[in-house]
Amino acid sequence: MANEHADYLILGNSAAAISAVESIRAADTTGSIVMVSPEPYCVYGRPLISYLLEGKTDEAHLDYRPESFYQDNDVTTHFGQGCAAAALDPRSHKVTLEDATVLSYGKLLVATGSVPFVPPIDGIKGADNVFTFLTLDDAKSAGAAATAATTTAHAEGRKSRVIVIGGGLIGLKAAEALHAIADEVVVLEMAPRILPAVLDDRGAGMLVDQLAARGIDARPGITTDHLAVEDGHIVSAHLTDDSNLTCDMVVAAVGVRPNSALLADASATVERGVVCDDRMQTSLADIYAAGDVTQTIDSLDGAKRPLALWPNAVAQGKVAGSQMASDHHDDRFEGSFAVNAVDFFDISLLTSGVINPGPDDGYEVHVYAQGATYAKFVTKDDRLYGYILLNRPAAAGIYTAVIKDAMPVSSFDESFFKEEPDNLAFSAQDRWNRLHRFYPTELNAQGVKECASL
Amino acid sequence: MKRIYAIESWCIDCKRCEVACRTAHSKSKDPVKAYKVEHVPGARIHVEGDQHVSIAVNCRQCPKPACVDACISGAMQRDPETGIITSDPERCVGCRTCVSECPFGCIHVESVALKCDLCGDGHGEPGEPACVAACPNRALIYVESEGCHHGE
Repeated sequence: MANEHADYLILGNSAAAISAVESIRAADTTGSIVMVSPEPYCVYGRPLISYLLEGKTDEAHLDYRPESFYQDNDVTTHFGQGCAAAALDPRSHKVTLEDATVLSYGKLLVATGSVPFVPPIDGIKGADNVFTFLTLDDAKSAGAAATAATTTAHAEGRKSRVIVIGGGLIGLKAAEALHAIADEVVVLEMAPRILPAVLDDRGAGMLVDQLAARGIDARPGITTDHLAVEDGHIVSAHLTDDSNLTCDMVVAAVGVRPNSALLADASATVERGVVCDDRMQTSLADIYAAGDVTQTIDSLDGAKRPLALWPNAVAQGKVAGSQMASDHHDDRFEGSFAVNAVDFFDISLLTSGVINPGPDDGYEVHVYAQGATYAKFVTKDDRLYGYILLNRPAAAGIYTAVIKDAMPVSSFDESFFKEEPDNLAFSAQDRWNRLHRFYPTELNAQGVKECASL
Repeated sequence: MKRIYAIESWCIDCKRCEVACRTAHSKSKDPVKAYKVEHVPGARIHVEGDQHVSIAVNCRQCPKPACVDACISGAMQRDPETGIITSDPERCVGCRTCVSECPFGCIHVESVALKCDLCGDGHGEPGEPACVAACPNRALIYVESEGCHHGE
């Protein structure tokens, strides 16, 4: 295979990769950029795959950037089968793809995202009706299988059923999507509550009821230990409450892990994710990483873990791109904390920061619940550290700003938390400063140009 | 770029800006038809408070917008030429990631994200945004901002 050189070689074609290309091009219009991805598509909004199956969007509107993005930014692409990176030699600055193409680079960005973790459940391996739910191809396959299974089931005079293993964000979004196609969807979650990472017990309990009313049967505290297979096809699951549940297909959504094998094999420092400095550089020279593949330091609790969220990937990609284009760039990744927004049918759930504090960590918890809404705020030392807003989304970003800017909680009335927040809750001075950035200096606070003499 | 600024001392909570906004985003451009027939979604400017203290709040057109960086569909975009941030209703799926990020509570979702698009000066049309034109008190002004340049 021919050798090709890229001043900037980018492994990946999603949020972090695209954001990096844009920031490289802002600083360097001529350096060669090559992008590599095993997916054959123009960059798409990965979280949109569930909306696609539900018919809330269509394939023509999935593009995160127009198809001309690559040409407009003078990017050479190696997309599709065989284009996954198979080996990295950091000394000779070379990456070999699965199809044996060798690419040499000046600077390398690894933005390979995460890969689904398939649980080692008896019967799952090799079955032809098990799906993951991370990529557009995953969604298309799962959607087609659900459609076929439902047609077959109806011909046999019965209902079709999908079992989703894992009640996290991906599992529940897959459940919502497949509910639009299959008759019954059951979600199994090993942990005692659904969305264990982004909800608390009370909120999760409310959400289980709300999902049930909309046709999703979510069962926390239960999983499957054995899948019965006939002719390579899973036909039922034995559950940990000793019941059996027949099914037409299974979605495995127990979690994802950083797609970091390439860097680990090349001896880069990898902990729970690829370790980077605040310039997004890995432990290896000229190699950067961004997005779900990395480990970040949570700016609220100091925990080191992957923060597999779209905005985080965009922010990291931006910094990585500037740094790759210029060694002296002052753009730094300032750390991040979780902000999750998710909707199921007409249910909205926004959560951020610390939401399940330990009893001895010194946090205070404030809860306001009414009917289907549930709001929880976690504070400590006069600071807001986190929130849960179930079915109360209005103006939630104001709370996010209060967390980010470490504003004193005592400066707000209780109504700021009890009801939807507003800008009037800030002091007159803070309010002016927040809402009047870039205000013209020739105008006074009344919007009038003051004259020196009349 | 020109931005809309609210002047608290002149605001009387009359909400004419909200009416003008919904009307401007209707097909008919007629307030009665906009409200009663077209059922145009809620205004993209919102008056907070009461007749003692009130202020109209809409998108600040941030130069480094958190809503754009967070958008999972690419619907929310900042025009590099004009600096104006808009959300494409064809691509928005209403996930509310932008709502969780906007520091001013200026985006709301009715099926899709709705926010100020600086109408009137948006697509090569000269003129003031509808809310500014409708304000009887100059409590909303549309002026050239300072210290923030294109592409920042």
